[in-house]
Amino acid sequence: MPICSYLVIPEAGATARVSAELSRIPGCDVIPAQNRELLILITETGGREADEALRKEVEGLDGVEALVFTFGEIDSMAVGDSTGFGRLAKTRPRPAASRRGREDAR
Amino acid sequence: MSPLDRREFLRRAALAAAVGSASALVPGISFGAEVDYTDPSLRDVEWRRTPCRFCGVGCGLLVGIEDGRAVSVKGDPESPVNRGLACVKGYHSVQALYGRDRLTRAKVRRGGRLVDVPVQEALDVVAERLRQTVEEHGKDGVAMYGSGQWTIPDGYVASKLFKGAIGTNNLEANARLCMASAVTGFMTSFGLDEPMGCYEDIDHADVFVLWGNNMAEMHPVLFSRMLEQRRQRRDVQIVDLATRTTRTSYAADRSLIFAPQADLAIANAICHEIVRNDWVDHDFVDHHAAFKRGRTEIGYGLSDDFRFADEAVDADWDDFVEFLSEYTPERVSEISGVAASDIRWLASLYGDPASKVTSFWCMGVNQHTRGTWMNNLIYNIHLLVGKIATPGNSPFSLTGQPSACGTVREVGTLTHALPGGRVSDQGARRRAAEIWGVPEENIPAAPTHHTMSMFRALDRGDIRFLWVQVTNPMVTLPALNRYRSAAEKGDRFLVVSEVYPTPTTEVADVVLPSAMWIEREGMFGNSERRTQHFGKMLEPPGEAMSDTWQLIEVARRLGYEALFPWDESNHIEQIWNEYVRFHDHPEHRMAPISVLRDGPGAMWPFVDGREVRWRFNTQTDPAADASHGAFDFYGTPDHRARIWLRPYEAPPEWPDEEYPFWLGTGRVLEHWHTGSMTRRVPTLHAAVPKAYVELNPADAREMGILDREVVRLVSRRGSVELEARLDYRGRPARGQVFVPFFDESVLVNELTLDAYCPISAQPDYKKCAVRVERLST
Repeated sequence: MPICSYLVIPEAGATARVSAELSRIPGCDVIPAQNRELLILITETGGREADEALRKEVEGLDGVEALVFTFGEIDSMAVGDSTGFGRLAKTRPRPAASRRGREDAR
Repeated sequence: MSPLDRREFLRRAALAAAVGSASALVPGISFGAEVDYTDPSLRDVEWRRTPCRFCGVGCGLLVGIEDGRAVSVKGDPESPVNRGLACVKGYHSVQALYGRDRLTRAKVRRGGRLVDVPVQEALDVVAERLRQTVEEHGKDGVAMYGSGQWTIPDGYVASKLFKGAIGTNNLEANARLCMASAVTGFMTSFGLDEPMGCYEDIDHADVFVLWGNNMAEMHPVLFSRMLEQRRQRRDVQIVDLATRTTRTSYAADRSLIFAPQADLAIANAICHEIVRNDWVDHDFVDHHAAFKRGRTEIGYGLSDDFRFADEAVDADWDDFVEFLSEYTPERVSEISGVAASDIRWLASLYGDPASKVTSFWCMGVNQHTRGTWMNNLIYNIHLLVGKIATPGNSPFSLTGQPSACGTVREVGTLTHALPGGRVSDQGARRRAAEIWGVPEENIPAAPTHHTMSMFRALDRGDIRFLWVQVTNPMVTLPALNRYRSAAEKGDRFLVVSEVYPTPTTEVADVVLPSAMWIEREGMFGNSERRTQHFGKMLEPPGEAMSDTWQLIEVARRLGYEALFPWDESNHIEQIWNEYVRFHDHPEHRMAPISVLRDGPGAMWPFVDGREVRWRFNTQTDPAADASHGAFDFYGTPDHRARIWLRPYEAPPEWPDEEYPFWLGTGRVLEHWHTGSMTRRVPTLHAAVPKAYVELNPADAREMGILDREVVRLVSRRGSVELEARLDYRGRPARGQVFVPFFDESVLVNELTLDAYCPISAQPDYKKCAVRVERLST
């Protein structure tokens, strides 16, 4: 369930057209600025590949001058879950434990 | 959290990040009421102000709290630091609170294993072992090692406990590894620590010279402010002066790549050209500067018995001109690899009387065996042309940690320091004793161990008990193998206060679970002298407790109840009110806590209800005496800043036939320090999941190494295996490699050298010799 947000900077005069085209793409929510030529785009897709494909589609839209990534949640784990970090930590070979036989803390 | 909650959480976070970025890019932009956090899904969110807990910029954040949980983050538009902007770490910062393996129980080593115990029992163990070690090995047998991520109250209570109550100067902080050279640079050039300017200099400067400072990744919000100035004002120039091509180089107007250590020669060559072309502001120099010469060939601190004391000798203009004579652009070009014409051009930027110049630097200058000298030399340039302490004219030393300034430098959590003074100064000791309510004799007059010396003493057995808070030395110390072995010795006792398991908790005897950031009240002090308060917004998990309160609990168990009498409900305010007595003078007066609680922080000196933006300038700094002219460098006895004659000297280790590459280490945008927090944020971890070694593509081609091929990196002290990357984040020059240090599964500090600047005792993480080995043929 990747959810990302972007700022979409349209070419001059293309804001309304870009906004309409983005709104037609499944998984895209568009929030236009009320007083500037700028759009917020929030995307929600079914997986990493779909997310990547959608981003490329948006980048390729006629009238999009720039796409600025502002937020992305890609991994399919709950917020607050570890990232597999602990597994990485344990892969490092440790030197011979000189603590073996060390006295207890109390 | 249910799937529905998670989706809603993510959509809010995504929207908040986009609105925050848009607001920063286009001030005044509006997306209408439905997005202004008044829509139904966000009505119950309470937005509370805090400084970011990553990096030394000190961006103001607004954290959205709902049902006792931090659910969103946006930049604080009222913060003068970031004006609503935040970087990728800031936007994801609250997720670092919720890692699955968060430490929630205390642990004590029993039967060789760390086992869970009630936190009060663990605190009993800590106090008893501390008392026992003092009895058996003396006061200097115990030590504390803290951090630039300590809040101000954490550091203050640690100083009072170790220096005032126990009576040892064995107190250090990891900021020794990141900004000690900045401190000694300030102290030797101006007699007082911390920048004279502020971030508002960015809005006024015409030229930015970045000395070994990859701001695009390390200080991204300040970098964005610079880029915005260049967008608005067409004549603004950014010059990246570095040993490696980075994202900063690509965004700069000019990128000049120099050989490691040659910055010393380049700075002197710039001065040479300023003098030769008579771009000197003679009136400024005559009235506000004095020339000094120090010792040379000062060593590198590699042996345990190394001692050094500098000796300032008076010099004059003629001595300075003669000293500079050997730093012609042509000779320096040979040392540095920078074209003589580029050196002249760089000097002309500083020398142009019509332009305002701000220099930024951080680890590239500070983590340097001549770090103090490099700081002095950058000040020399600004002093020669009189471009200092006025809007836009600013030699600006940036810090890396959120409270390296506020806690380590201002509270003084270093062996030689006290809040507002030095242990060697009887007046400072007397003042501390009076405020702390301890006999003056309790506070030893002699410093003991700086950080490298402290860990060497742990190895030798001179120190037997070490308490580490908010830092991860078993990843960050240079020449790491020696110091990990020291911590693992059977008769050493290591206490670690942490929020997640780390390589340092792995070797601990006691692990205390700490409350993190907005789970407690505190203050940070950022790079521009701004103190920022944050309230307790969340309950810490399990039995986690603030580092401040852990220290108080242990102090009381040691019998020091009378020195630490504060109420748990209001102890931060009580500690602050005691601490600010140390700085109750116009040169450093701190804002009252009511001001800090009500706004986005305040810069010191805070005098008559106003913060001072440019110190030493008699127009803007009430402590500056106009009888000295337009500027008053009141930190020195003669009210003059110092121009130092500091030569180029070679580093202690060079590439050779056996180890033909320079190794430099550093950080990446997405990760904070050793990654113990940011690697638990899924998005940040996914962006840069592991450390890598950057090679120059031509070097890689010669060795037959392909992008993403795993190679072995070997120094005289150790080896690591990791992926080679070509033209990834950056491109090292030929003969150099770069490795970020955030990944605990690739401990690059097993390779680095524990050589340090003899004046600051800050190690050099940017230069040692390695070889690159292919694993497959």
